[in-house]
Parts: sequence; structure tokens; C-alpha cells
Amino acid sequence: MAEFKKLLGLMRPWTGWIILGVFLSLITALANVILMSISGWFIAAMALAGLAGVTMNYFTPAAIIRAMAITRTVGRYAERLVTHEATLRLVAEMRRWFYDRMEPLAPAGLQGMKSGDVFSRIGADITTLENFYLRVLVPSLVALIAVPIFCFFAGYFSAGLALSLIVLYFLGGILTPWLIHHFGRKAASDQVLKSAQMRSTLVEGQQALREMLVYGRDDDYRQTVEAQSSGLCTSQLRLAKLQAASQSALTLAASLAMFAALWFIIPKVSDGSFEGPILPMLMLFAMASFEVIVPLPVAIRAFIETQVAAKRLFGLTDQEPKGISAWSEEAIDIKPTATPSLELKAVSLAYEEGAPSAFDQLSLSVAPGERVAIVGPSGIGKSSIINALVGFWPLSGGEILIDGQPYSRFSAESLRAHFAVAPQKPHLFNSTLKGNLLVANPDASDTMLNKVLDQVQLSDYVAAQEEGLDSFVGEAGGTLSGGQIRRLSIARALLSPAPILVLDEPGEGLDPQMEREILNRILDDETDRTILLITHNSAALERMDKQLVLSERA
Amino acid sequence: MSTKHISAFLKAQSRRARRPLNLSIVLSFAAGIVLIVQMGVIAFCVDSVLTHQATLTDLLFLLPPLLILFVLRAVLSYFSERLALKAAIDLKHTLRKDLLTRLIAKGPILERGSENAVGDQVTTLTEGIEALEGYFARYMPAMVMTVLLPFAILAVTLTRDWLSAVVMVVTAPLIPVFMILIGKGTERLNQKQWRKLARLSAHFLDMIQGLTTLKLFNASRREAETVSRMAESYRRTTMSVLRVAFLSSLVLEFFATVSIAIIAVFIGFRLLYGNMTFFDGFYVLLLAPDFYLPLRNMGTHYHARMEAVGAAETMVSVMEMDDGSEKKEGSLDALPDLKQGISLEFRSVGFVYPDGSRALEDVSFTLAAGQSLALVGPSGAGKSTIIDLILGLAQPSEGQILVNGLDLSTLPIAEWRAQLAYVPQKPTLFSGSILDAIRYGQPDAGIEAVEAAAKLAQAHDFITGLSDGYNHQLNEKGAGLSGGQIQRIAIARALLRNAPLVLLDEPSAHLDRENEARIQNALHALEQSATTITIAHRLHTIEQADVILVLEQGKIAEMGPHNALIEKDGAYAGLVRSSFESKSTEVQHG
Repeated sequence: MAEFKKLLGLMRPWTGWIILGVFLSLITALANVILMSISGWFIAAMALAGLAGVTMNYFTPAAIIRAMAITRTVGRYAERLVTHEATLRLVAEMRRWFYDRMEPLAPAGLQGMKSGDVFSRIGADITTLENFYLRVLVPSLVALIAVPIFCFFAGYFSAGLALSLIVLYFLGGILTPWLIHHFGRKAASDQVLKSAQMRSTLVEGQQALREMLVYGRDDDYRQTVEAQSSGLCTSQLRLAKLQAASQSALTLAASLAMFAALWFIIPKVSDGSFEGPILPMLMLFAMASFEVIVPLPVAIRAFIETQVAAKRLFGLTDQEPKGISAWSEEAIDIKPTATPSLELKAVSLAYEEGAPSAFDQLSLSVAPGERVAIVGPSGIGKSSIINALVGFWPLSGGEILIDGQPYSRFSAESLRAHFAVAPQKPHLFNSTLKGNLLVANPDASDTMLNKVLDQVQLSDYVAAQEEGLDSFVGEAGGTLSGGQIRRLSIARALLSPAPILVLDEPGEGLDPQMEREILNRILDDETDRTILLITHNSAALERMDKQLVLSERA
Repeated sequence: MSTKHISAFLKAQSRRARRPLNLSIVLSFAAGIVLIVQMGVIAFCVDSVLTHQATLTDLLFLLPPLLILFVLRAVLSYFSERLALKAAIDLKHTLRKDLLTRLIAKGPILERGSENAVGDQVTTLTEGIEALEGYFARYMPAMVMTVLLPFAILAVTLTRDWLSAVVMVVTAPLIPVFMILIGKGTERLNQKQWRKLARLSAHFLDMIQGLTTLKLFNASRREAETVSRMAESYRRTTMSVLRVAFLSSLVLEFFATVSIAIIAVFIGFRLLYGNMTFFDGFYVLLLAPDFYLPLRNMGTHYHARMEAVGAAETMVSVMEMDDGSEKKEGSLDALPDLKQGISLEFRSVGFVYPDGSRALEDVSFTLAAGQSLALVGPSGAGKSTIIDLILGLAQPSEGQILVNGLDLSTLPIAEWRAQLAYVPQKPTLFSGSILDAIRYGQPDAGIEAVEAAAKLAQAHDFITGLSDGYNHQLNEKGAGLSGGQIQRIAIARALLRNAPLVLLDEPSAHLDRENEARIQNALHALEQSATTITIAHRLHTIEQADVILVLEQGKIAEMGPHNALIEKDGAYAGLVRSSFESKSTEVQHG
């Protein structure tokens, strides 16, 4: 229920739309009931007048019938437009809302979560929420308002009919949904969870087809997905049976309502309390009134599904960010100075509480414009230093100062604006070469792009491409070699205007010669910037002002 | 892709569930017949009361059969609905299986520059497949019912009142005509909507996986705008599809309502003037809405069809692409024993990507069992393509690859791959324990064998240093481990296979010099007995190779052992001079 309240809270800006949608839907439903009732009465009245050989005023009922027919048709059209417009707007906004809450969590808060799962949340789960307004709120509210009206109307003619209708409405509108809730809750929520699970498997599997095929695990993968798919089918099948049963139950209830009209009204017509045409009128009324009950079983199912989806969404968005944004409440935006100084005082970082530190008691002071190498073997925690520097993870000890100011004074964003990072595991977006570079600096001119590409010796490659800077790099840089990805990532860091350049293992995947050439070129060109070089080999070390050697922990 | 083509595909799919779907139609038709009878009984009751002053007691004999008809109709529609939904669910499952099999068979070699991203594929396999339910469960049966039930009602109407029947015959065909006129443009709109959804999904996945990078460059706020923009644009496209769908529903309903009104007016005045019995008039009027109901519903079903057509476009192209699974003539069912060693021969092998760009041309070489080959050359020279061809991830466009004299394309591919140990440049580790990651290629390997391989790959020490050792759970893509650690786990994974053919893609590039020296030894031990092909960047590896293949723009520039090539003083010697000038320090440092 907490999710329910939260969802309603999110929908508050759309209150106007929502009320309009419910209003239109109600008008349409009522118009239909009136249309059917009057038509039944009208035909019978005409026939009886014909038999009696008298004339009757057929203009008024005919006009009402026309008006109701138009109201029903146009009302349904307007209602659909309004409700869908409202819900789609809500959903579009929610994607942004979700992104805004997910973004501060990365990377620390999303660690251990599969990207396919996060993907399911911003995609399918939010889409599921479409139904909350469309299939849950609107029909429930319409039924809530219309049913008492129907009961009073029936009660005016016959208490017995009114009572029967109340019982039938209860069976169709409360008991049937309750049974679905009881027998289908697990299946409905499983359906959401299982498809999210399958999506995660598919994302991971499709991205790793190469090794899967080579290591002969494609059959396992196929079988896993197949099992997940048939699990999904089992849930869907159970829901399908319930859906079929509830639909039939409602058809039956609507027929029984008509039957109740026969049962209670015939004696009253026979004893002359009512005129004949009242009988067909109430019969058709009883049947038509079920139109507001029919969507309720679907509503309950949609309700369960949206609850699960909302729970998954809020489960992520309610997390507290772990990185620097979590511990810098009084932080302000501080623009980086042209050449900031940097000082690490006995800094330690542990990825989880109680876990061994990635690095411990690290002290380092970097003067403006200084070139510092951090050297050490693989797995010693060199890359973790970057996570600490850019505030992705909270420090477990010590403090970092920029220009003598403690980290906690900086807002997360202004802190990151100090560093131009070429990470060890760079991500390339499925976009063009240009698009990937512009991530670092959206205002960069083509001249600037060509300059950084030249610095990393990619100019020739780009020139050889038909589309030049606009050639696509493929998913995760799939059309590039490992060395090209590395160099593009270095170029991206060079393009960033940030004053401290951080290169993490820039030589990975490169020829030693090329590594040296690129490093030398960067050291020649980037005279204004402070440079932190994280590496395990000796290239360009002789040109550094300072070396910090990390050795194996005891 | 044309709508007709996609429709044909969908129809062929639904034929797989012909039996349950047909049965569902039969049951649904039976329910319709029950409805016709039921309405007759009700009309009779009302007529008796109104025009013959019958009392409830007079009609008591009719009430139990009426109740039975109600129940019968409910039961029939239950089974009809259930069958249709079950058929749709089964069809979706089967199609998902088929599509996945196709996608796996196609493998990881994507067309260059294509937008076909994993996010897109995943959306097709999930949301795309789900979008077909309406087509299978509703559209297909409805198409038949639209014809059957109205005809049955028409037949009954004809016996009661020919004028109403004439109105029905005249108005009914107008409805589908108008709907199709409106629906014409929606086909393209639907495909556009679906493509937008696929692009949106692919973008989201890419964005989520690159969120850390976006944050590093403070680009995440800009990305937020992109999310808003894409979501908004998808909303607009969806709404434009829906607007047409709703409009066609409006038109259908309007026509149906007007038609019923015409029938009612004709009946009403004939009743007033005493030209018709009340029973006939009332009965026909009760039936009239059900005559138009299937036609009215066609709007909804037509929308379901359009939605399915939009979603199925990608599926059709996946199902129709050549997955290379066609067995070549003379294919072998079992792999000959290769444990004795593998010799390889490339005979004028060429490879062209589907988009026409050439990756390899006329590559020929032989490699005896136990020999090692180093592939050398600039990025994009075709080194990785040679590895992909041997891995069977791509098929040569020209020429042949011979394994111990047998054409590789005739060998059973899974068994062939089991003979290979492969260390890629960017190894992917699956989420799960380190233990499972190392025995990925040998799921039944014991812990001793895993530890031995890890020791050889210099991974044992850091693994046992983790709090939960070999049971340490890896995050997606090995997040939390360093590049070097991932590399060493990948080497252990390859070592565990004890394979006669080893394919390495710069295995030492990520390691510090101390580990690299040790791993060189481990790999050397592995290479002793195995045939080895290495994409090499380190002179040390290259020098020791039996054969060096220098590639330039997909062609062999030079071939031979190190000393011979140096003596020749050609491309290789130049490459060595330019790339490894200070080789003394480099070899020392690895």
C-alpha cells in the first residue's frame, strides 16, 4: 500500500487530467446505460401504442436516444484520448524522474546490480505503471460512483431487483477481483519479476555471445532463457485462466441481472403496478449497467502488477547515494582554478564496510602543474584511487584537499569538474566517434576534436573512415580494436577542460612504442595541466616529477 | 519491410497453433449460437408478458432452460477464451525460442555501423514478443468470427424481418471499408513507434552501462535532458498511433450505432402502425447490437494487428537472415580425434562483411601441429578476423580453412570449439562465483583442477586473498576486479581446457612485469604441446613464434620466422625497428 500512496503522490501534478478522464469515462458509461434503457422502453411503448391503436409522442424519447448515442460514441473517443494522453505524459515524466534518482547512485549504489535489471526498471517497469491510471484508477472510480446510482435507480422500481443487483455487483465487482487477487497475485507479480529476470539474462548473454560460443555454453544460455520463458508462460497461463474465468463470470452475472429483472418485474407488470415497457427497460438497464463492472477484474490484476513494478522502482530510487553526494550536505559549487593543488592525507578506501581496504593510508601531495606517476603491480588498488578522487566512493579514512579546501566543501559535480579521467575500463557509447568525444566537452569544435585525435594517433584511422568523425563505433566500441578504444578514451579525457588529467593504464592494449609516443606527446602538449599517470610499466616515467610506488600489501 | 511480408510471417506463425485456435473459434461460435437462442427466449418472455398478459407462473417452464443457456454460454466462452490465450502464450514462447536460437547462431559478429544493439535485441525478445499476444489471441480468431457470427444472426433476422436484414446487409460491409481507409496510414506509424521504442531501449541500456563514464565527465545532467527528450518523442509517436486507432474506433462505433438506430426506427414505426409483431421487432433489436459487435471490435483487433506488425519487423529480418547453420555437403557428425595435435591451413581465405567492406583477402598459410604463429600488423589489418574465422564465429567468404586436412566448415562446430582455448583482449566474466568463471568452459572440473589452472595463471594468490576466495561473487563484467585480475582469470579459464589449439589476443598486455614474466612461462608450458596463434604486440612473444604473419589491410605482407624476416629487411624488419627500437629495455620490462 505504501507504493500505492507514493504513486498517487507522483501523479499529483496530473490531478486535473485524472479528474477529467474519470468524468468523461463516467459520462460515457451513464450514456450507454440510459441509451439501452430508453431504447428498450421505447420499442415496447411503440408496440403497445400500435396494438392499442393510439398515437404516442415519439419525438422526446427519440431525441434522448440520439443524444445518448452521440454522447456515448464521442465520449468514449474523448475519454480514451484524455486518459491515454495523461498516462503517457506521466510515464514519460517518470523515466526522467527515475533517471534523476538513479544517477546520483552510480557507481557505488548500483554496484552488484545487473545493468539488465536497472534497464528493466527504467523500461518495462515504468511502462507497466501506464496501467495504474488507465486500468486501475479510472475504472475503480467510475464503478464507485456509478454503482450507487444504479442501485438507487433499480430501488425506485423494485427493492428485490435492487438487492439482486447489489449481490451481483458484489459478486462481479468485489468477489471476482478478490478471487483473482487471491489466486493470481503470485502469478501477476511473478510475471513482472520473471520478465525482468529474463531481460537480465538476455542482456548479459547477448553481450557475451563470443565467449559463450567459444566455451560451448550457448546451450546452457538457451536453456536458461527457455526455462525463464516457460516460467513466464506458466504465470501468464494461470492469469489467462483467471482472466477467462472472470470474464465468463461477469457475462453470467450480467445475464443473471437481466434474469432478476424478469423475476421481479413481471409480477409487477402483471398486477398493473407498472406499465409493460418498464420490463424491457429494466432488463436492458440491468444488463448494460454491468459495463462498469466488467473492467474490475482486469483492474485488480493491473493493480498487482503496478504494485510490483512500483516496488522495484522505489526499491532503487529510495536508496541513499553512497558517494560524495551523500556526505557533503553543505557542499557548494566551486569552479576549478586553472591549476589546482591536490593533497591526499592518509586516505583509505574500502568498497564495503568490513571488507579489506582497496588502498590504505595513502598520502600524496601534488603541486599545481606537477606530473605524478602512481606505480604498482596489477590489483594493488591503483584504479580505486580514481574512485576516491572523483568522489564515487566515500573514504573510509583520511581526507583529500583541493587548493587547501576539504573535499566536503565541494558539490559532487564541481569536484568531478577538476578531473579529466581516462579510466582503465572505458565505456564507449553506441554512437559516433564524435558523439563519444563530445561527452567530455559538448562545446568542442571539430578542430579541437581533430587535435586530440592527433594526440592519440587516431587521425589516420578517422581519415580512412568514409564517415570520418561521424562513423559509428558500434556497441561498446565493437567495431574498434582494444587499442583504438583505449586511445579514444584518452582523447576524450584530453578534450575535457578539467585541470587535472588522470590516465589509468594508458598503455593497455597498445604497442610499447605507441604508448611511449602518445605519452610523450601528451607530456609535451599539456604543459598547463596537472597529470596523474597510473601505470604498472616504465613508459615515460623518466619524465615525471614524482613517483608514488605502491607495493604489495602485507 | 513491407507490411504484407510481415503479415505473412505472422500468419505462418499462428498456423503452428491452428488446432487450439480453430477449436477456440468453434467454441466462440457455439457461444454466439447460444446467445441467439437466449435472446429468442427472452424476447418471447417479454412479448408474452406485454402482449399476452402472461404471468410469471405462465413462464416458469422457460426460466430453468434460460438459466441453463446462461451457464452454457459462460462455459463456452470460458473455454474459447482460455484456448485462444493458451495458444497465444505457447506461440510467443516458441517464437522467442526460435528467435534466440537464430540470434545465438548469428553470433557476436555484427554488421559494421548497424544500429542493431543488444538493447534492441532484448526488447524484441521481451516486449516485442509480448506485443504479438493480441494478434494471436484476438485478431486471428476475430477475423473468422467477424464473418461467422454476423451471418448466423443475419440468417435468424431474415426469418423474422427481411427489412432489418436488408439494412444489415447494406451497412455491414461499409464498416470494414471505412476502417481500412483509416487504418492505411497506421502501418507505417506503428513501425515507426516500434523502432522508436527499440532505439529508446537500446539507448537506455547503453546509458546505464556508461553511467559512470557520463558522471566522470559531468555529462549526466545533459543525459537527463536526452532521457526526457527521447521519452517525450516516444510518447508523441505512441499518441499519434493511438489517435488514429481511437479515431477508427470512433468511426466504427458511430456507424454501428447509426445502423442500429436505422433498424430501430424501421421497427419502431412498423410496430406503431401495427405492421409487425412485438416479438419479431424486439428479438431483432436484441440481436442487432451483437450483429455489429464483431465488426465494431475489428477496430481494436486491427490495432492489435498493426501493433504486432510493427513489433515483428525485426523478428522477420532475424528469422530470415542466413545463420550459416545449413550443413555443408560432406559434413561430419563427429570430430576426428584431435588430441594428437592440430595442424591448420588457410587456403586463399578472404572475408567480406555483410556491408561489403573487406577484412581479409587471399590469406594462405600452414601451421603444423605444435607450432606457434604470431599475427602482427596495425589495428584493422585483419588479425582479429583470422581468430574469428578459426573460432567459427564467421565463415570465410572465399577459400578454405583446413584442420588436419579437413575443411573446417564441415566439422561439427561445438565439438571443434571444445578443442580451443581462447583468451580475448577484453575477456567477459559472467556474474557468479570466481570458481564458476574459471570452469566456464569445463563446468564439471574439480576444485583441484581449477586451483591448478589459477596457480599457473598467477591468479590463485589474489583469489585466496579475497574474503570468500573462490566463492567470491563477481559483479557484471567483473566490476570490482582490476583489468589484470580479469585477464588472469580468463587465462586460468583457458588453461583449464587443456586444449590442443590455443588462441591468444595480447594476453600479456594488461599485466605488470612481475606477473607477466610468470605468465609467459605458464603460457609457454601450454604452448609446448599445443598449436598456438597469438595476436602479438610484444616483441618477446613474436620472436619466439615459429611463424610470423605480417598483415596489412587484410593481406599478408610477409611471412616467416623472426630471423629470416629480419634478414629480409622488409615490412617486418621495418615494423620491429619502428615499434621496438628500445627493445632491450622493453623485453626486460615485458
